[in-house]
Amino acid sequence: MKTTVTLIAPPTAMQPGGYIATAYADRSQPGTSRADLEVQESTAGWTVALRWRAPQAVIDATDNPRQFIDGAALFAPTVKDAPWISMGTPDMPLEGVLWRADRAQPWRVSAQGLGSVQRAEAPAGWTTAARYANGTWQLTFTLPAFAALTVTRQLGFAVWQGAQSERAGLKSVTPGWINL
Amino acid sequence: MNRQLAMVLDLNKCLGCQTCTVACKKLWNQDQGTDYAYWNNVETAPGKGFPRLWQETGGRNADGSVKRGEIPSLDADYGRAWKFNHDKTFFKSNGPREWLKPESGTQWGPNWDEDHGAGAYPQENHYFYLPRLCNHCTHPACLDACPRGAIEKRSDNGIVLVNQDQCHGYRFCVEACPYKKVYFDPKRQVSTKCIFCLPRIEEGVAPACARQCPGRLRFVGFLDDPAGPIHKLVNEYKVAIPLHPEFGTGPNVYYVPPLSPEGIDDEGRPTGKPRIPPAYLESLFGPAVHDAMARLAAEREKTTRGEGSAVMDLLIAYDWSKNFALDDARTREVI
Amino acid sequence: MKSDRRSFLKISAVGAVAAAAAGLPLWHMRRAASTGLGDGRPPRTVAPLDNWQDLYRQRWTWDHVAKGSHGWLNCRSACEWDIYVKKGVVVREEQTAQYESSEPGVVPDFNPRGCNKGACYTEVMYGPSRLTVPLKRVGERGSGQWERVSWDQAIDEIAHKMVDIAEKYGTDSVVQDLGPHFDNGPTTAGRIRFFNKFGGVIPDDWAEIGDLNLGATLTFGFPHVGGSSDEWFLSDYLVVWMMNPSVTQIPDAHFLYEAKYNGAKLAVIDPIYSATATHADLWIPVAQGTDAALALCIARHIWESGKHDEKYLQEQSDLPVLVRLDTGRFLREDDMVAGGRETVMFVHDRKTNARVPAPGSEGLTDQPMLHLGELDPALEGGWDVQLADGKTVQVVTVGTLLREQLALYSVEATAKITGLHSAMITRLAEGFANAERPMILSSWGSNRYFHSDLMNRAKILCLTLKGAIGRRGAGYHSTGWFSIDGFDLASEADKPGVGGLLGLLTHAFSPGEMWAIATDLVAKRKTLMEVTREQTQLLMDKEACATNSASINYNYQGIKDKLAAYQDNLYPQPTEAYVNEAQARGWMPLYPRKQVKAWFTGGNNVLRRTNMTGEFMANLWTNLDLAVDVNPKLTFTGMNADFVLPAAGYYEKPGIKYPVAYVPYLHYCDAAIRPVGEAKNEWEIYFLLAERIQQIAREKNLAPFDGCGKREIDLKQIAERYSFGREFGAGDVEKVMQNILDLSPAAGGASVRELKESGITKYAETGAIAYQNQLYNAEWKGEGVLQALQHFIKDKWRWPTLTGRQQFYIDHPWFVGGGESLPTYKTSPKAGGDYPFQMVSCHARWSVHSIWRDTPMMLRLQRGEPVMYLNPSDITRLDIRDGDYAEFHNDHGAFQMRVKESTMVRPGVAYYFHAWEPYQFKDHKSYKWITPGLMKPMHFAGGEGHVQWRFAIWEPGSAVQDTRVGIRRIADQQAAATAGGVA
Repeated sequence: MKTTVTLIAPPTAMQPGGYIATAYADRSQPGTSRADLEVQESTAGWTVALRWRAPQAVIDATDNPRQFIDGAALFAPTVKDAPWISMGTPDMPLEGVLWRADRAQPWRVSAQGLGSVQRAEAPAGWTTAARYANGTWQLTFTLPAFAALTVTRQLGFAVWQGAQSERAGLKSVTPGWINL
Repeated sequence: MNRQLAMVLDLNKCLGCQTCTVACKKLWNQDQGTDYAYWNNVETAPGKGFPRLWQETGGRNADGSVKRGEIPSLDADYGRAWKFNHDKTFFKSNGPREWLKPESGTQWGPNWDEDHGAGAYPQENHYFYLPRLCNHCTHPACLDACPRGAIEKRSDNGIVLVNQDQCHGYRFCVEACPYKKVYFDPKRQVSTKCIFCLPRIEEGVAPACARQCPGRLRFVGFLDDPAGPIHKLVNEYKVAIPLHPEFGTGPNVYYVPPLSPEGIDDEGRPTGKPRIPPAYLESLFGPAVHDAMARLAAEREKTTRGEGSAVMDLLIAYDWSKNFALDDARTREVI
Repeated sequence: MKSDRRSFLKISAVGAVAAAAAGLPLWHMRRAASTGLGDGRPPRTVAPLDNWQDLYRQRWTWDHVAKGSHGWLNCRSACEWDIYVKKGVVVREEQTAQYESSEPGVVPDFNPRGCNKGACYTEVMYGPSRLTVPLKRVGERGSGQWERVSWDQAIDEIAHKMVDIAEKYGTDSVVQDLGPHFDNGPTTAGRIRFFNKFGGVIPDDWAEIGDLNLGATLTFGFPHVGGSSDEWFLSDYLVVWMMNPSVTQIPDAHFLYEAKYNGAKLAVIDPIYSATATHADLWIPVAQGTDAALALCIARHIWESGKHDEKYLQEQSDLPVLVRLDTGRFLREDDMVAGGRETVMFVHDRKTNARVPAPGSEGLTDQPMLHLGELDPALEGGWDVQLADGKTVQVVTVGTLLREQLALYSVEATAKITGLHSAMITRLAEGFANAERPMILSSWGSNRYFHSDLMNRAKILCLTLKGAIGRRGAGYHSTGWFSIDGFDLASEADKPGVGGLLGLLTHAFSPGEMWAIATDLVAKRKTLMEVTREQTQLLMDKEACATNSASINYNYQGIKDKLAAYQDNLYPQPTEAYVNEAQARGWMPLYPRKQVKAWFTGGNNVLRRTNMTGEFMANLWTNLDLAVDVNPKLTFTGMNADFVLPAAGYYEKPGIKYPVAYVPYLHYCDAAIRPVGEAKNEWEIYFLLAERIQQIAREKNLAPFDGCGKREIDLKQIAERYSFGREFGAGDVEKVMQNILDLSPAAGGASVRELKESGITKYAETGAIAYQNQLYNAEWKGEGVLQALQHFIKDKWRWPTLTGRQQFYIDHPWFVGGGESLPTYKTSPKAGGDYPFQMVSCHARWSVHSIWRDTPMMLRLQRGEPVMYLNPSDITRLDIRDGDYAEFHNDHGAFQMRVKESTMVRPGVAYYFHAWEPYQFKDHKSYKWITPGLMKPMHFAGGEGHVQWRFAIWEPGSAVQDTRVGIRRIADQQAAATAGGVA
């Protein structure tokens, strides 16, 4: 399937702790307003391609503590229609993959609610191919085994533009699950 | 039982020598990603401090409410750990002989303000040294800012720690801390901060910054220990007060505020008033500074008259080892 | 083979590692060195990486801990450290902090001592300028072209060169610049010993670097005054006067601020609002160089307000001593009686209304004590006296002359000179006069003005008037010393042990002289102190090719004309006439006799230090046939040497930190690891050199040399003599150490084995066999606050001055003619020309001299480059921005330096913290190139009483604080930042 998704900024009021909700209360617009998504399923597994405009890519983790690195993540609920904007629940966890522009290998990630994302080494065969050209990221995930997606066939994704200090809950996400 | 370790720093004994800074640096922060970081620094006040303008760029307003903080710039606000051109200085090369200097240029550094101070010479010029470390706050702004719960305040000693496994390097803590005492490690992509020398505390040994201080101005102990120096200086004698209490985080590092020489009037006469404007001290330590200063002066009067003063005796630190009252009896010796 | 940095890299690529001096390949860190040298603490380990907190726990682990210190450092502190070793590398250091209070509950203890530099010597040890292999110059001197050579080759070539030079120019053309960096252990003893046995010249540079308190010498007969620093705590009125303990005496400064809590007032007199001044009750912003006027005004106030101690002055000071008004000389016995003694002076006894010999007079050899008995000497008054030749002259007391002198320093007059308001002066004077225990701290840095001697004489006068000198909790602290007698013996004697002492004395003295010494002592005709002083002097005269750096510089540096321009108008004679007279009369020795042909450094950085460095390099240095730096690190001097030999660093060899009296503990330095790379300790280096020279001399069958004209130097025996007749081998450094300890009573019988465990041991006494006791308190046996000077105050020994008293009147004809017989105020001469800024320096917070100057960890806590501190008003007026490069210039040229704004600096002062390496400046030229370093001709004086040349006590020096500069903005900052000029 191939589609263009309008992205939203998750409400900062939901963010855990007292700081972000207040300090970023004014943040209502996503850094990336839309992204192209292409999903292919084959016997070899899943291939998911994302494409979004990023006027200024931030790729490497040099020596700049102010620099946030571009990233993107795919999530699928382990239980159909698990909460997306709040990143699942303990009973309905999400599973997915996280790419960061400075890393050759993606992480496998899981989440059971806001702030609970756990990173782990990606399973063998999970790869990403990223290309930045003409102000646009083109990112392809190759995921031979993505169990949650295979089961629920629901997909959500997030992109982070480091140049706009996006990280954590400051991100641009699909408004809900995309049913494949 | 919730207990809180705390530190008192007597600014009237600080030499500005930065042995504390070096002690801390040597022990904890010499890796590539944290080479710019100083868990402990000493700055000259008044001044822009380290990182530059930290008092204005944290995540708290003067009424304690939250505002969006800033992440300091490596070059403009922290100052990177400059690399030097020793080889090109010492040895013949193709170009003209260089002189030793930072290869990358300099904009700011951990002690950029050293001895700058404020005020016209000789009437009112003034400065003092302000050693700073993580305040291990009762209500840590960093903990409050972390969406991942990666920052914990330990119940057994109140030390605030960034869990290096949990941290994903989002840096809300760096923004939020009104003391700018969380440092991001771009190499490891995690935030780090003063651990109050936890491994030493576990052995009953005072933190390196305190134990290595040749000015003997640091006291370490539990806030609720009536026999220890902290409780006495903070709660009983009330001569030690926190820095920027208005931020509302409940700092557990306390300062004995600085006395200063008399000012001089325009004709050159001593004025009888301290050089450091009380209003400036209040802007740092809050209104409690006036009472603390008055108590110090009164106690000094006592010893000048030849009377005893338990406050002065404690600050004199006749037996230095008693500056540190930790759980463990082995506070005296590093093992 | 020509070699530069690029080819070094090529060579290393093919494996013949030419480890460039800097940017060292850290192969020494990869090689797990043996750590079995010290016993130390058990290893500390933690379970590896159970959780993230173990990452931190792992950092605080070690394999081995040794006790050590920074023994070879010219740092006036002494601090014991635990040296933490992990996998053969010293990873960090932390103070042992095991000192005790001298009097628990009365004074605070000494813990933990230490400073920022000591806490990171490891950064120097493994730093970018560390030397680990011998290097030989292959390009021009200073061209930065080196090749790595073996020790064998280096020793062989240097030995041959030294023998050649000795044959052509005499052994005294070889100079070992003793330097201020040295310890009191076997390696420094080896360094000195080698040059003693070689017949080389060892100049003292104490005054030349501006550290010698000649004002104290003129007053007390010695410059080093003071006991333990916890005595500061006992004062009720502390005056820090030309010192900045917060910066330069870091481990001891706390006693000052604790004294404030104990009820003392703290006054800081400094043109700069220094880090110490910030803690004062009263900061007195005196105009730079006018301190003598302020002191004389205080003295006047004390006397006029009747707060002086008359009885003390009668006994302890020269105020009652009579002076002839016709000549300005003391009235002497040979004035009064034909054949009388020249060195017996007089006082006027009020009780008998008669002139009587002044107790203490140098010539009263049969009654060397100060007891007045029934005498009641008049402090003031004038009388007519009939001399032996029938002439009647007027005599007055020193007190009367002084009273007249002080009359000039009214509060109003002093206010004009010092720029202080009379209310400020009065406040200070009253506080001082009313104090029970006034104390003045005066650092080595108080000796850097041309007229510093006058300033210090005036400061001491304030204390003497109060009777404060020698009183517990009061008096003058300019740094006293314990004596590590075994070190002196190891440096000189031919045999180890007590036999060495006897040998030393019998070698120096005839049997008759030895007998006289013994009888003097037994019959108590002389005090031990006097005998030892004489011994020292005789030894110097008879044996050592000892001189001072200022004399060498004055004669060989090519600066006579330049100095003359600023100082010839200040005295009746031009400087050169004074110096010539001093040398013609034998007052001030000058070696080498002919030329300086070889220069060894190791304890210093002469091309960093010497004023008017350009002239030094152009005249003296270029004339050298051999320049060798034996040093753990590459310095600017090393960069301009022919050979640099890697010495073991501070944690790599056993030593004893030099024994300042501030902290009454002996500080042992253990070798925590073997020397890094190919470095060797100096005992071994000079052993090897002595061996090779002996071989060459024997091959050539060289006839003995005449040394410096005093004794025979047989190089065919040099290794025998160096090794104490083969008692010690090249690797026997710990055996030599034990020998030093055994012969040092102050060490109290400590053994190397014990010291490896404890690091420190409390001094058992103040020490002194062969050399002058520095502390003058034989009763101190390791208990209680150490008070100096008790021999004079309590025991009534005469002071080692001409009058035997604290002497404020110097009747040496030069002083009388020069208008400096009494303490007086004289303006600071405009050295360098008439320019608007006075360039004033302080010792640094961030380095001990140049040792840490290039260390990145320290530079990052500064601004990365040298800075000149200026007041904001000056910066604005000059249109310079903070951080800009500016040009500083005077009659001698210009240098470039960054500017730092600071409200602590007095307008009109350009203030810097010293010892930046020249290579840290554009064109490798520092402020030293345009700092004239005035040499006060009075200090070449000799021949009378205590005004005579003695090593590290009385000698000429050079003054930097009088230097004037102009400052110019540099418009093109980018061009300023671009290298060029130095090839």
